[in-house]
Amino acid sequence: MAKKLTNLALLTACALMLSYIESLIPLPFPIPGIKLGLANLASVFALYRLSYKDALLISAVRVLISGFLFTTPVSMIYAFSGALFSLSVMALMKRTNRFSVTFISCTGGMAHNLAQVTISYFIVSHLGIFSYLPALLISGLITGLIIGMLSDIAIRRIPK
Amino acid sequence: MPKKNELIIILIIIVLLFSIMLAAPKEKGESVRVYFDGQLVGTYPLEVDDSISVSGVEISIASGSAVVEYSSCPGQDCMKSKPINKAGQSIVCLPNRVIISVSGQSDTDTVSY
Repeated sequence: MAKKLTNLALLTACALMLSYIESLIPLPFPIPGIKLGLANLASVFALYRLSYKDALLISAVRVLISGFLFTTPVSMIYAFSGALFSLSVMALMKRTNRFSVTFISCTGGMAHNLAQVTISYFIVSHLGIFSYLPALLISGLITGLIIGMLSDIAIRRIPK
Repeated sequence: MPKKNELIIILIIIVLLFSIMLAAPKEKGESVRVYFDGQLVGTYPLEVDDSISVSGVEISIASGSAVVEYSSCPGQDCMKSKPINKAGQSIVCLPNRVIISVSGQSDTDTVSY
């Protein structure tokens, strides 16, 4: 019990640190919603090493705290819906046992941005917002790819 | 490392998305529509230099393009955007709930690819 709690806390702290590091890096692209998604490294790791529910919990806590510390509280809606949708998609893919970690993370990245754009649509009620979708999907794929490769290394190297 | 099939799928998706982005309409826009909270606030012709202020976002139309001069939002993605002047292009400020979109002769509210 204590070990589980420690693990969860550690991973949440890692997710927060990754969020912080990410907030320090300015991205030259002016597209709203584009991020490195570094904190997802912790989420994917949790998904594989712990469970879907644990990963969800870690993400929720991370979104909450980093929403107050590093970004704006408003962004929590986007961040959480993105994380929820992407983790669910990734958990489902993982269940089939047919995909590699990297690929699942790619899909997770795209799913994350897809969810964020959709939520944005409900807030601004303007179909034009979907014009950002191709660019966001590509960025989700690429960042997911990188995070996925890193997660893969982490999952294999870090002892249980 | 991802499996070979997966790499192929990833490549296909990248090519697909890129072609969608490149196939975007290059038609020059005629006017700019400004939306706040989903409601149309005003339509301004692109040839007329103008300055519009909506909900903390200052938009300026000059030399046939619209650009965000200043915005009170934290991320400032909208300010970093390049000026827009082609039909279908838009600049969005999510925190301030403002959307600036260029419309051309086809005059549709949706973006066509």
